[in-house]
Amino acid sequence: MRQVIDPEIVEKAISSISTSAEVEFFFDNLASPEWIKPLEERGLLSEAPEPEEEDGLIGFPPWPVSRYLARMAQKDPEEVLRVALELRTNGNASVQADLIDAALAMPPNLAAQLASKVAKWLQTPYLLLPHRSAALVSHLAKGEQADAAFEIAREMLAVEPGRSWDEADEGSSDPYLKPEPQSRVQQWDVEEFVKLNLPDLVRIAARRAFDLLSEMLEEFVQLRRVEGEPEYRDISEVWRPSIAPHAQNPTFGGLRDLLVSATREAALEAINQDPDSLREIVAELEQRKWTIFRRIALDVVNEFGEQDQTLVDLKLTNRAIFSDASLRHEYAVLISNYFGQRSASVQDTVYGWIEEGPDLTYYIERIDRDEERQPDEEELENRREYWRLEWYEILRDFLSEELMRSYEVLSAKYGVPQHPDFVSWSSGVMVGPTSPLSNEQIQAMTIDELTEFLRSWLPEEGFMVPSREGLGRAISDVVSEDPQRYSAQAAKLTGFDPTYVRSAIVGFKRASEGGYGLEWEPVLELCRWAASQPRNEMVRDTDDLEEGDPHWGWARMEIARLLDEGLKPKEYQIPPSLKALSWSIIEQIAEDPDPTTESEDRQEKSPMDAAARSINSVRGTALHAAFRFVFWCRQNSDQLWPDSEDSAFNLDRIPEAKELLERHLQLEQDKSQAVRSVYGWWILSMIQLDRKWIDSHLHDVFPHEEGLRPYWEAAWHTVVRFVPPSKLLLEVLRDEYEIALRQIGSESADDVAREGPEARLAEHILTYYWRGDLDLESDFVQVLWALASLGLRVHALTVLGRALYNTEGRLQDDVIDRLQEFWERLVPTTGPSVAASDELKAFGWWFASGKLDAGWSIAQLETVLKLAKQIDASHLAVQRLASIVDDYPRESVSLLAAMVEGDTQGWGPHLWRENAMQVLKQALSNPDTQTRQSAENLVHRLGARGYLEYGDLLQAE
Amino acid sequence: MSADPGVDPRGTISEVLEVAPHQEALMNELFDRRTDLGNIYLGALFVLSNASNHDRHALAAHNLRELMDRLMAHIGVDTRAWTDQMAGRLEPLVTAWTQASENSSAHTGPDDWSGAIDNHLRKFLHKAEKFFAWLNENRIARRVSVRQTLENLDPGRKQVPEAIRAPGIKAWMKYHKYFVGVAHHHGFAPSEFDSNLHDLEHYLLNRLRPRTFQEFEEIRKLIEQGEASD
Repeated sequence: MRQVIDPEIVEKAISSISTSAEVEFFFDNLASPEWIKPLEERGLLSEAPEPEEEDGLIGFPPWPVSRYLARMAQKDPEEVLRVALELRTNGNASVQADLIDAALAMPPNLAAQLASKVAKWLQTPYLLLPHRSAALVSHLAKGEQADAAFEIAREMLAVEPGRSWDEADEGSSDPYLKPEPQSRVQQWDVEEFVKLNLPDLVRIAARRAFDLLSEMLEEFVQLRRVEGEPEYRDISEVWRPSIAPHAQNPTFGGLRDLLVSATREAALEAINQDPDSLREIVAELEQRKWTIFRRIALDVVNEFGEQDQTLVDLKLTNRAIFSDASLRHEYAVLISNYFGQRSASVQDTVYGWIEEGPDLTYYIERIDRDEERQPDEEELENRREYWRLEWYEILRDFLSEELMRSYEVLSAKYGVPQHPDFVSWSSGVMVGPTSPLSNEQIQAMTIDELTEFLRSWLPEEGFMVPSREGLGRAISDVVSEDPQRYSAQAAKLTGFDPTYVRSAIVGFKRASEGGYGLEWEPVLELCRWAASQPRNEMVRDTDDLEEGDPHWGWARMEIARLLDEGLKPKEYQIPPSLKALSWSIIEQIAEDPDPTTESEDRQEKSPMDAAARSINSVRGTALHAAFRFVFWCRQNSDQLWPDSEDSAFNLDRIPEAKELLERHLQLEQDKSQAVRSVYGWWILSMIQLDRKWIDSHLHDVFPHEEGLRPYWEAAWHTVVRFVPPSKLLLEVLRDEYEIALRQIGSESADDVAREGPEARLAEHILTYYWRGDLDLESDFVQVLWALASLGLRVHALTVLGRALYNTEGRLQDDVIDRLQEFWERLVPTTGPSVAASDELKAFGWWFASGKLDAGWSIAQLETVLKLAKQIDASHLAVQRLASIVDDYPRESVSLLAAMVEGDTQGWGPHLWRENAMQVLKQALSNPDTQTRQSAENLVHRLGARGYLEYGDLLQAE
Repeated sequence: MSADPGVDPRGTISEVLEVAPHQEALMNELFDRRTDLGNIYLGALFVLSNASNHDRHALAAHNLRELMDRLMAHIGVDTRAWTDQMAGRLEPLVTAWTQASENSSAHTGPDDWSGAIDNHLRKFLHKAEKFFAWLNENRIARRVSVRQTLENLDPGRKQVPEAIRAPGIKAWMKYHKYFVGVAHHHGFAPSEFDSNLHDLEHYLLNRLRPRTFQEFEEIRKLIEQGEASD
């Protein structure tokens, strides 16, 4: 007897609800199914919310009513089923998911009544449903509700034409372009369904499951077929080498592989359940259109051959099957397993076919088509013999003495065939260049043994065989791990292939980077020899990098990098005694042709800028090493020039370097922008080292002539990107800053977002402002702000905010004043030119930093939130509120309330939870009534938005 | 009292006006949202507190109606259906009626219409058709805008079953109609006015400043009662 809830209470309850949070709370807390009827009568169970679409994305609002129904399904399944059958879900997958959950809680015979609805819902592509539907199939199958289970299973397995990002491919007649058919639900869900749920269905109705899977597999192959291709073959022997499980089958073979396995399993289970159905199932498979089914049929015969020997004979003596290469594997398995038990007549038939040899018509046609020639008789005979040999290999256990002799003769001539039962055989996957020696083997060798190996070893031709590149990598590893040993005998590598020399140098460089000491002289001697090798003479003419270095250019670049590293001021740097040797190498490499004008023209279109090209080209790296050499000389000047009375150090002290650096600044000598960028890279150090030299060559580094603009940009962009702003830099490069600022605003939004030169320039200018090198009235700051795009202004404000946030310790008062003045004057919050929301939002960082005056920050944030509703770094801003709530309780709550109000994404209060709770907790215990009241209001408001965890704060009260 | 909508006079109110706690809460909520909303409500309370002003109810009702309209606009609801006044729409109909009754041959005497539809009568019928179509649309549009108002005032911004939303819409329309009537000096009883004001204040306060967790407790108790009787 169904109980009834007091109608008065129902009315009271309904009238006490007005907000969506209350609706949710009400339905989520109902524990009895007795509410269903009265709520239904009052119209509360009939309006599932419709999906919400925004910016091309679709969302499914959860519905507390369907959640309630799902919870009640176990307690009163009939009542829930009645409502669910009438309910319109409005295409809301979230509601549909709840109703499937309800079905899962019902007895299968009741759940079966929802199967048609579930099957229909599965025709939409939404993710919430498949795994539940799959579970429902199991639930129904376990309850012997086969019809209902199959209705859903059919939709779970449905295939549809493949989709491609290029729609033209979808109807393509090119089989390689045509996208693979796909499952309607996500493939992962299909895989899980086949693995976890389909067996339940197969258990109660294997034959029916087999029919369904065969149908789906046929549809898949049909969809794969290219329209208008009359002789379409499924080429399953390639994508599914073996129907039975086999290591050759792909690990992740996709939907088709899954369908083949499932069809096979279902067929086997169907015959297990009804042994008499063997022939019927085999016939059914053979009647289907594609080869894959004939292969499954052969596999099934193989599995159940013992129970129907005649069927085995029929298959083995079918010439069409024997001759069809696409059936080779399954036929070979069948014949290997059963040949010994066959009658002499059957065996003779097969041997007779082998003796006859293959039909070579196709082979002859192919040679004619591809090579435009006719194969000669010897070639055809070889072909026949090898084919025979493959069959003898398959039947080797059964061969008569005579045939065994034939086998031995042929195998002596052609070698033993590998895997003759497969049309194609895959031996592994690519793992990168391989070495003929392991690192351990190299370590165990003496240097002489190693050099002997390098001298005598030649890589074989072939795919994935050990290569010079692979051996080189191993050498780099071993050298970097034991640099002392190898550097002491580095000279022994003189005369070797550039791949090995470069690899050893890479190893030395890595060791030096890691702070290890080297025997520098032998290493540099090896470098000198390598650098002197003819650069343009190709060592090998190949595009295959596995073969090894094509020329000496790569080794030269690594030499320059090694010198750059070794000359750095550190404990194990190159000793002063090797000055002449070091320079002779740099000098040599600095004349390398790379980068050429052509290569720079090509790379100009790539994202790599001149600075990046400078460290990835031989001459560029050599120029970097040259500058490094200059500073190494200064560092070691006491030892290099012990008798010098002049304490000042400038380029005149090293005329060889001065001459080289000046020469490469002359366009007639060096046209590379990458090289020019090297001067920008080193500009500040050079200003400090030799101001006079810089003054006299500044125009060469930054040419102002219009036609030389790319050179100016190469140097300037490197300065703003890699050289830290400094007063000295500003003083010397004032003109360049001016030129750059005049052109600001021309960069695309993408470049600004990628922090291109304009963004870096803005960072320089703001750093000068921060430090007091420029004031707000300066042209630089004013021009920057007047010309900057919105994106650049946002970037600048964010960078300042982040810098504030990341600054440790207290800021000086004058810096605080300057930054506050900057915000007040350049980011207007009133008047006709009020700043854009995105600019205002950047204040989140400023506030979160806690570095500015608290009262000022609070007032600004209040204004910003009024105008922009949201701020960047909101979680850090709330963290800051938590730290000031004791001193500014009322303001903290008010600002938090504004942030909650502005949070449209709906995750802010979750993200801020810990600190927001801290703010509210403090405010709720504040002696000021208004503060407490505001905090309480906010907690209730948070609850009304669904953040129920904040309710704990009131309970604590 | 300054009429400047930009000034927030809350600090000095307690010295000159006695307000109930719920009124103070509503006032604060309105001032926090926008000063003019707070001032309009406060204006109504001030007028009502002046017993010597015999037109105080009509004046206060005018403010309360204005408060409802502005609140709607403040939360982003299209209020054209409320500002498109009936009087302006009715005027052409009245003119056409006068002309038809004076000139139509079908108007054969006082309260007597018979015969064919002539141009005068046709004109009136066209105007009448348009007017009623507008009236119908306007009623729907007003209801839609009230629904939107309640949705926008709901911090959760999720759909609420019509059975729950409808009484809220009905109540809003009822208060609005009531205060428009009083503002236009239609008859009313002071106690009825006080009751409507009190209900409107709570209605707005519950939505502007929800007491979510208290409401949850109430709901929980009702569920327990319902299931206990089950």
